[in-house]
Amino acid sequence: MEALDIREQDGEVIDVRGGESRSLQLIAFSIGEQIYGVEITTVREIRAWNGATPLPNTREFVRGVINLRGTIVPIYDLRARFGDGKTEPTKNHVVVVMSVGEKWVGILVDAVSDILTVSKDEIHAVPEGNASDTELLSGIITHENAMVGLIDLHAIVAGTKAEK
Amino acid sequence: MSDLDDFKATYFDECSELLGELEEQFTAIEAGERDSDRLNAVFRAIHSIKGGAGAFNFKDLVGFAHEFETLLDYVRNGKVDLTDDVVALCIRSNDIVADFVAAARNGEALDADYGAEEKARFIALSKGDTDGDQGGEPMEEFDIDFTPVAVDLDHKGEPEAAAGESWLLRFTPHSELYSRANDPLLLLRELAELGDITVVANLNDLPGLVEFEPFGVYCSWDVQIVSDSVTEEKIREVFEFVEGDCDLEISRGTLDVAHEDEGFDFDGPSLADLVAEVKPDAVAPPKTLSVVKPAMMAAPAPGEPGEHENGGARHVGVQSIRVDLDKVDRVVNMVGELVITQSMLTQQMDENLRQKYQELVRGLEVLAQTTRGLQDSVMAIRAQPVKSVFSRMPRLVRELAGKTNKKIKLETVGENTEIDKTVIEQLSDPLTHMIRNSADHGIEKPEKRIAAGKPETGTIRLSAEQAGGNILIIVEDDGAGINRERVVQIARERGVIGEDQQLTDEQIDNLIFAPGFSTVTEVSDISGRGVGMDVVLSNIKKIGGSVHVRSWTGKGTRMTLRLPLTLAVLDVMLVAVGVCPYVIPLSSIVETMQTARADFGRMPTGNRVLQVRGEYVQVIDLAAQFGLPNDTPENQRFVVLCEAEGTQKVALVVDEIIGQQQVVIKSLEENFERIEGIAGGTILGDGSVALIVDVQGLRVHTTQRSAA
Repeated sequence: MEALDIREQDGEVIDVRGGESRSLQLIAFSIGEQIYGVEITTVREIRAWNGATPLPNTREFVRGVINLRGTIVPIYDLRARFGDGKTEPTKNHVVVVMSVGEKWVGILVDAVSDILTVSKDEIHAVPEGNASDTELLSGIITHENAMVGLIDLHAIVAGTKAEK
Repeated sequence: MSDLDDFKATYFDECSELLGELEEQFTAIEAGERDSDRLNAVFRAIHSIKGGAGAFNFKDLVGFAHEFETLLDYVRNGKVDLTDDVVALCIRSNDIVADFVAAARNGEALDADYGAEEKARFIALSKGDTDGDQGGEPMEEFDIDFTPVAVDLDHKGEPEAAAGESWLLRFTPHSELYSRANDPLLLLRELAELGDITVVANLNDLPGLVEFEPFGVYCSWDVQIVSDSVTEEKIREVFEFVEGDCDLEISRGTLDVAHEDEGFDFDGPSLADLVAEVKPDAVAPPKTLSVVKPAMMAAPAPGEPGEHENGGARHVGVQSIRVDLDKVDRVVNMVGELVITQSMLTQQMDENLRQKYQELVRGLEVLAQTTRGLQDSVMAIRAQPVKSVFSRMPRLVRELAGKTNKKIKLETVGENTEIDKTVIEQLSDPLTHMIRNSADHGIEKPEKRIAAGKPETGTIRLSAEQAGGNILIIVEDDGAGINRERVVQIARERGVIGEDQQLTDEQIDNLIFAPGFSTVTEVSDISGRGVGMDVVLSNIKKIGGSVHVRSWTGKGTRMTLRLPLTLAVLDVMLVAVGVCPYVIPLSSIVETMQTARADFGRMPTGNRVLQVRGEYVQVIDLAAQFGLPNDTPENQRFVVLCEAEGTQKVALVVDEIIGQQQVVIKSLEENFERIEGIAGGTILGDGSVALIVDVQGLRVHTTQRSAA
């Protein structure tokens, strides 16, 4: 079973709506040592990497498209998006499919690590500095002494055309 | 969505159909077919629009439609002559009604005096004769249940002693008659056409208020018809469509007039009035699905029997159903998937399995046939004749002829050619632009035409035909042809082409599709603003079609639209570029060959050209173009010769040709964005995604890139 629907995890029913409004549930995933998170409500499904059809004339972080039950969904390589070079994906790599506005997109990550519940008050602003950091992250959360970057999905999927 | 919104949506759907019908009818009327059927159809359509508008309280629309209808009624009754002038007014009014409908749909308000001029004309025309009262029904009646109350014919209570035979008729409707949206009043009115009639309502069965059922049927009528020519058959004909829904007793004799007042004494005089007020509800079937319907059915019909026949035919059985296009699309998509799954299953059968499981093989063969059949049937649901678009064009041509002071006639051929509805929807704008262009730039002024020895009246020919998996729509005119010198000059001025660029005649002709291009120095309100022909190109490309123009100086211009029969399923050739699968639409492929046998030439820049049957063709290596690594030896690759726009060819070099198959087109833009050179994606039998090569886009893309 390559697809795993989070909302139907065995034995543990997760309230997707997040209970009280002050808290936020995140899917945390890792790229190398670094942990990032996205809000759980945007995640549609998580599936193992099974190859993608490359798209011509796109930037290197666009890994291509996959067939998600009849719909064509683009896959973004998050490592490459952060400028860390292309991921060499194996069967153990994971695609997190989520909805951004009207669109469905998948991001390729190394592994999904956890589901975190955090309070909205715990979200720190991204410190000024590198422009692409502030652009790609919408906030930072500390979880068990580790830093979790909150991904700004809209920024991730922007600017995909290859430069001529 | 509330029920009312549903009703409204239905009403607007109906309106667009009715407006289309009006357009068609008026075109015929204008062409001289002024028979009563057409007038009745027009009257009915306007009446239905008005009826529905009344139900939703679109006051402006009702007001305008009412006057329009009144005029039409006079025309129908021969009280107003249908002169060309009146026809022109009607056609203009048609547009105004359409505008009112559009405004109502969008919840916008039009100017208060919008259409006032036409309205005044209606009234002025109608005023010539105000004796007849059928047309002048007061507007107030057109609320949800506008059906006029009880029997109120002029001749009531005047026993005719006139010569002729006297027939007696007892008409007792059943409740079914009402639930099928028939109206006794209409039938009685139609009877009145047969001769002088006297009608008496039988209210004996009317219960007291306590027992009164709103949907109950309590009324029957005795009718005396006096006429020379009435036969029992003729009377029965009137009731043809309610046969079985009513009791009918026909005999010779005269009505006992004393009988008449009987009913009104029953239980006090006010009750009759009360019933009269309640009765319209009885007409509306319980929980009516569409408020519009009763209004549509109940077109007041003092008119010819033909009116009734048509009106009645609608009640007989359900001929069509209205289905949301989305739902059909879903079925089309699913059938597409089914076709693919089926072909995948067939591919899985190797010789070994075939020997072993013959039953399975047979089953698969049947499945293949059934899926094909299913696919064709589903496609047929969405297919519509191009007539729906073509029928809008005669008026356009007429208007254009008027504005440009030219004499133009439009010929249409192949109107019944069917295309997918989604394609048809995209066709209206491009066709309008093309015809505008022909009328404005192509056809010359009458003097010029005579001087050139051509008939004074120019001809624009609009035709549709099916050619293989494509539909060809051709707009042809016998005008002056494209003025190539002017085109080149203007294209240089506007920077569409470079100063020293040399072009073939064909390339020059196709420049008219360049954005911002227009040869007319003065902007008219018809064309010349430089938007138009590029819209044609982009609209047609969007639906996977192509445009080709050919012009003969002094003789005319021909523009050909090549459109796919359907947008849902595509016959393709599956090829490999590097390790990636790509598909090329079969409709654009001319031939394939091995690179080893291809005759390549080398251009100064090092680019290759392919020589094929005396023609030199641009070569695009897809692997290089798409940046895909490939290690296939150069002489073992394949050339796919494709036809791009018109006769422009392009040779695509691929690494392997895998085979033909059918695919369902999937949008890349839905979740991603448009990529140049790619027309979309599709899912192959093994579940992987293959990209569809956009041959035309690729050609343009590479041409632009090398020019930059």
